[in-house]
Parts: sequence; C-alpha cells; structure tokens
Amino acid sequence: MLLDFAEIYHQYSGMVYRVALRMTGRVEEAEEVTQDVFLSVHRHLGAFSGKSTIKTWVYRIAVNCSLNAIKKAGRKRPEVRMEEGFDAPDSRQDVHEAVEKEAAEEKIQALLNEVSEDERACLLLRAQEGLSYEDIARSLGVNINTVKTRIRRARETMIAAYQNKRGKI
Amino acid sequence: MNCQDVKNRVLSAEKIFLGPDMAGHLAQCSECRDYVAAAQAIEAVFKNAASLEAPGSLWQKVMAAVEERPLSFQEKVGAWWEEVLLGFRPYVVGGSFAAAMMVMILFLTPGILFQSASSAASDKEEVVALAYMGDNEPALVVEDVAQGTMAEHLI
Repeated sequence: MLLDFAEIYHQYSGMVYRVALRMTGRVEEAEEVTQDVFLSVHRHLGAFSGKSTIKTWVYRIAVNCSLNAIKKAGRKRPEVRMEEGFDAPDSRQDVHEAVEKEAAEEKIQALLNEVSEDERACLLLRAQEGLSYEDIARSLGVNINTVKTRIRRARETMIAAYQNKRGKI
Repeated sequence: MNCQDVKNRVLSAEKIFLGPDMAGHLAQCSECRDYVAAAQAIEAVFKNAASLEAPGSLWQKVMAAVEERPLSFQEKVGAWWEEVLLGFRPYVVGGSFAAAMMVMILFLTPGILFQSASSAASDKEEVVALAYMGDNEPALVVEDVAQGTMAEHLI
C-alpha cells in the first residue's frame, strides 16, 4: 500500500498541529512536534500495514510525540503562551478577530490546564477533532472503557473549573 | 429523570444531547440547567477551535527535514515486502505444510533416511578424494604394497 506523503500531510497537518498545540500549549513546540510527526510518518509509511486507518495511525503518532515533547520539557501543565503564534493584524476588523481568537485560545488552554495529559489527549480527540470513543481507543491503543473514564473525568473537572471561574474562562 | 441522571448523561455521552426527558427536568431545575449550559459552552469552545490550521511555512520545514535524512533501503522496501508476503501467504502456508509432510515421511519410513545418509556420505568422500587428487597434480601418489614405500610417478 503505497501512499502519497504530500496528500497525507495536507489532509492531516491541521489536526496534528492543533493536537500538538493544545497538548504542549506553545506554538514553537507545536511546530516542532508537527515536524517530528510527519518525519515519523514519512519514515514508516513504507511499513504501514493498513491494520488501522491512516487517520488513527497519524493521531497516535501526534499524541505520542506531544507527550514526549512535554516529558522532554519537564512540564506537567501546558503554559499559556499563544500570542507569539499569531501574525500581526492588518486592519481594525482583523484586530477584532485576532483578539477574539486569542481569547478563545486562552479559554481552551485554561480549561486544558485543569486536566491530566492522558485526559487532555482523549478530550481533544473527542471535543476538538470529533473522533468517536472507538476511534480514540484505537488511536491511543487503549481500552474503550479507559477512554470513557478519562473523558468523563476531564469533563467533570472542566465543568467545575468553568463554574468556579465563570467570567474568567 | 433526576439530577444525577442529567450529570451522568452530560459526562458520559459521546455527544451531549437534550432528550425530552432531560428537557423536562431542566425546566424545573436551575442547578442542572447551569451544569448543562457549562458543558455546552465548553464543547462549543473546542468545536470552534477545530478550524485552526498549521502554519503554511511548516510544509517547507518538514520537506527540508525529510530531505536531510533520506530513507534507508529497509524503509523503502517495507511496503513492497509487506505486499509480497501478504500476497504469497497461501503459498507459504501450503509450502510449509508440504515440507512438514515430507519430513514426517522420511522419519516414518524405515531405511529411507539411513540409506540416503550413507549415499550422501559416499558422495562427500568422492568429492574430498577428487579435491585431494587435484591438489597433487600432475603427480599421482601410489602406495607400493610389496616394497612398503611410497613411490611418485609422473602421469
């Protein structure tokens, strides 16, 4: 099964970058992780057996690379450092959009700070990428009940944080 | 439906949905209304964030990194081998079975194995002998039994 690397990149780079960004909380680290993920994909594409879908395979590499980056940096919680990732806005409309975008990013990161890395990975794949519980289990190589438990815990923690800090998040 | 049922559904469902049973409870319970509203707000924040794309310059960086480290031979032929092995799997299984049957027949039929072994041994000896003769060309070593000495004759 010979697959086109460029096609895979264009189809999945967005989701890899988003997962990496939310997991690490840093734009430059997310770019490094995205690069590592696609290097790994390129290197192992020849041996890809097709037992899983390309999508779940790429998600799995993305989550593993993100967790490795966090471990390497020696951080438990992602730091909210999103501002350097956005281009300077050109017009007043763009300024408004950029401010809203940044506020949304900070909201997400503040919520994600409340949960563990494993819970964060499951929640991102569900809430942000829209994967089913079954696909998340396949992507992460864990039992579906583990996925359900992690998502339940993450939601519980985040709802409590949202209600406690209403107006801030 | 009570407050605990609402909480369970919000936390466990793949997608938060308001069925008629839940809507009935929410109409009467402000605490659950707040809880569901918070869950929906969080879900919306993540859904809106799904449009973020990787920076355009990243593709060039990835390709530069890919070109810096070319694929090894093993990585290049990985897919090809995989296909060959999977494609020939029925033949591999059939061949293995046939080989196992032949080994069984050899062991279970008296005489065949030892006879084959002895003929193989004599063949081996012949080869060794030819090699020895070859080493001593052009001379031929002959033992003179009557005199008890070794004589060397030119061919």
